[in-house]
Amino acid sequence: MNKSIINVHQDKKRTKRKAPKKLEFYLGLPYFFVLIVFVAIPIFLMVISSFQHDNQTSVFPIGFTFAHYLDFFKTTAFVRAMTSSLWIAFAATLVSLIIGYPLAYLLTKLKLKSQIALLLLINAPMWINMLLRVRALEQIIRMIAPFLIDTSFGVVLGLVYVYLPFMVLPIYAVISKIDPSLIESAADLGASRLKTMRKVIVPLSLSGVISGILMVFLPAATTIIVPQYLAPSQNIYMIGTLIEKSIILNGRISYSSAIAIVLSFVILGIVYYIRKLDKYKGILDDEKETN
Amino acid sequence: MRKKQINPYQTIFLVLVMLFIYAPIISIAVFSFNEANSLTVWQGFTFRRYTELFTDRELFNYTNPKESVVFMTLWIAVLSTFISTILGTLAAIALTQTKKVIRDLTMTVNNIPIVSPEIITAVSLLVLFGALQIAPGYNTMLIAHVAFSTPYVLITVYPKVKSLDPNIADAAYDLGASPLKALIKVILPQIKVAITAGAAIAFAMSFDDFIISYFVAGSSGDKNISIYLYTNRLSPKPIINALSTIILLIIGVKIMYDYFKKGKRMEELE
Repeated sequence: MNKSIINVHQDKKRTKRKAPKKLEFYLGLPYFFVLIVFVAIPIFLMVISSFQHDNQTSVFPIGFTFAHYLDFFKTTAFVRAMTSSLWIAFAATLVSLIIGYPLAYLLTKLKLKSQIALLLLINAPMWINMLLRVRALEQIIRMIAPFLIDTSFGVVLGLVYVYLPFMVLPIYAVISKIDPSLIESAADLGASRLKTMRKVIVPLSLSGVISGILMVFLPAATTIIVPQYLAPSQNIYMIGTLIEKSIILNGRISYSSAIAIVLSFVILGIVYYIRKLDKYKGILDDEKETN
Repeated sequence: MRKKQINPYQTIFLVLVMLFIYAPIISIAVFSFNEANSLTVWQGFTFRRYTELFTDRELFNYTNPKESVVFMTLWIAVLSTFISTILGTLAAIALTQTKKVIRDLTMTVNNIPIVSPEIITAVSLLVLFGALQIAPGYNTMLIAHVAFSTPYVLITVYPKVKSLDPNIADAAYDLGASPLKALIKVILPQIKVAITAGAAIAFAMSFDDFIISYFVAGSSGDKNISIYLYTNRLSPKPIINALSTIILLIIGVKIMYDYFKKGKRMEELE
C-alpha cells in the first residue's frame, strides 16, 4: 500500500517536472543578481566597515579595530538611545494593536462594499509621504494639544498615527480569509461568540498579528522622522537620531556601521522571539505543500 | 458573515479612528488656503500658496527638470517601480519552479530589506556605494529604490503564483503553448491583480522613501520630496501645505477610482 502511494507521488513529480522549467528558472536570474549585489554584499561590507577606523583621508582603509564597539560601553549615548527607542516602539506597537485588531475585525463584519471603502480609507495614508503625515499631525497637535510636543507620549502618538495601517492590514487579511464555515461550525458545536473568538478567530489570525507587530515595532524603533518633528528639542533621543547624527553630521560611517550591526542583532533577537509566538505557523502552508 | 451589522459602539469606534487618521490630513489641506503665514491661526482664504508653489524653482523647474525636486521624485518612482515590478514578478514565477534550497535562500535574502529597518539598509547601501566609489545622487537613489522595493513586489506576487493551479499551466503546455506564450497568456493574467498591487507598493515605497534616499544621496544635495520636506522642517514654508494638498488630491482621486472600479466588479459578480 505504501508503495502505491509512493508511486503516485513520483508520478505526480514526474508530470510536474515535464513542464519546461529552464525558462522559468532563468526569469529569476536578474533578481538573484540584485539580491546578491545590493542586499547581501552591502551587509557584508557594513560588517567589515564596522571594524575600520573612521579616517576620511584614505579611500579604502584596511584595518581592524574594536574601537566602535567598545565606544558603546564608554559613552552613555548609545545605551540611552537604544533603551528609549525600544520602550517607545513597544508602547507604539501596543497601542496600534489595541486599536488595530478590533478595527480589522470590525471591517470583516461589514458589507463587502463598505469593507472595501473603509479599507481604502485606512490604506490611503500609506500612499501619503510619511513626512507630510507627521507634519500634519505636528500641526494639529500644536493646535489642539501643544503640551504633547517634546513628550514621549507625543512621539508614541506620532508612531501610532504613521504605522497603524501596517497593523490593520495584515490582521484584516488573515481574518477576512478565515472560512466562514469554520465560525459557523464552531457555533453549531455550541461555542459562544467569545469562545469562537478565542479558539478560532484569534489563533487563525495570529500570523497576521505577528506580522503586524513586526511591521510596526521595527520601523517605530528605528524612526528618524517622528522624534524630529514631534520632539524637536531632541530631549527624546532615539537610535535613529544617533545614527543620523553620526553619519550625516559627523561622517562617521564606520561608527554608524557598528551601531547598525548591534541594532541588527537586537532586532534579530526581538524578531526571533516575536515569531516564536506564532504557535500555529505553517498549518495552512502545510496543507498546500502536501497537495 | 457579511450579513451581520455592527452595533453603535462599534460605529463610534470606527468614526473615531477615521477622525484620528483624517483630521490632521484635512487640516493640512485647509491651511494650504490660509492667508496668514501661520499653520495654526486662520486668517482668510487665498490661492496664493499654489501660485507660489508652481513657480518655486527648486520644486518645479520646467526648463531643467533634472534640477526639480518634484519631477525627479516622480521620475525615480516611475523608473524604480517599472524595474522592480518586472524583476519581482519574474523572480516570483521562477521561484515556484526552482529547488527548495534556492527558494528558501532567495526568500531569506529577500526578507532582509523587508524585515530589517530602513536605517540599516540605508547604512549598508551607503557603505556599498562608498566602497564602489559611486558618487551619491539620483543614481544611487534609484539603485537603492530598486533594491528595497523589489522584495515587496516579490512577496506580494509570490503567494499568488504559488496558489495557481499548476494544471492550468500544464493544460496550456499540453495544448501546445510555448513557455513564453503560457507565461503571457496563462500565468500573467491570473496574477495581474497581485502584480498591480506589487507595483503600487513599489511606487509608494519609492515616492515616500526618506531614510534610504537621505543616506545614499543626501550629501550630494540631490533631493527628493522627502529630503526637501525634512530639510525644511524647521522653516514652516506654507507652500509645503499646498504641495501636500496636491499630493493628497491625486491620492484621493486614485482611491476613488479604485473604489468605483472594485464596486463595479463586485456588482458584475453579484
